[in-house]
Amino acid sequence: MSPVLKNPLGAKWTAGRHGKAEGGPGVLASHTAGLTIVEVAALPGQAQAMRAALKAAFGMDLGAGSPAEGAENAVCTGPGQYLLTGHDVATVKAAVGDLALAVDQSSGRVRLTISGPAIAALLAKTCPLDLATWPVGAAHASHFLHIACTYFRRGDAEFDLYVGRSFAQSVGKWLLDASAEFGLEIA
Amino acid sequence: MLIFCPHCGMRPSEEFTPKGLAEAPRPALGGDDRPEDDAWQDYLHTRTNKAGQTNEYFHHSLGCRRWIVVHRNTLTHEVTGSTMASEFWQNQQQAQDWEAGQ
Repeated sequence: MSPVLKNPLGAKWTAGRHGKAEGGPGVLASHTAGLTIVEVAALPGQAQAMRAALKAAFGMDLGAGSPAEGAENAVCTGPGQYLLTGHDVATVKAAVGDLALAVDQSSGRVRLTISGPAIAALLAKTCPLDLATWPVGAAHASHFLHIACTYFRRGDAEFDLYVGRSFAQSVGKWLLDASAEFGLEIA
Repeated sequence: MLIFCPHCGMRPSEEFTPKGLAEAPRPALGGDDRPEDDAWQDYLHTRTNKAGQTNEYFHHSLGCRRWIVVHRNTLTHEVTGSTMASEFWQNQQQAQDWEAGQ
């Protein structure tokens, strides 16, 4: 039996400085361990009602459902479909009732937060989308190294990446290599 | 090539998986809860392979994971728009008008 992988980003993903050692780090990265992630998907025709239910229960304003209208704890992955963080599946199920399906993805997805002055140059190496046109708070379901990934823009130079846990090791390895030229600081 | 997704906006074609022409709606179930053989045969296999404006199914597999219908010109490769597949046949009249206008 293979040992349980405690760190989904691989053995080389350790706290501290990696790559270029001179100057300040170009990229800062952190991984939220033990984060509760629940995916909700509205049943046909119920998307707006589901958003209203989520607003009533958790106070998150998701607008009319465009990917640009998400929140840091409610990232849009498709029409009427969101990744909610910080609430357990039972609470979410109680909130959405028969309007939507809720599935626990805490073990399925990994959230990585990356930031720093070199973030645009780093993401330009793999993200196929034009980051410069994204408003802060926008979510984009796209890919990272051809691995399905949901991006969320937290700030001008700060992004959340949601990837499948079994792909996280590849993502971690690639980030260590690709950000070596900028200097990577892992929290 | 860039393809417009009604939910995600303009996206690179590598995010999509093509399926084929959206030429006919899925036939209704008749007797014995199955479609007529001819209708089913047409739906599965008969394609016009048209040169010009076509409607094609694409799955936005590395994005919002929805099936969409892309309006594309097979002569110029120009993509003129797209519709959610769930809405495409509901709005068949619109699809016919669109076809007639080409």
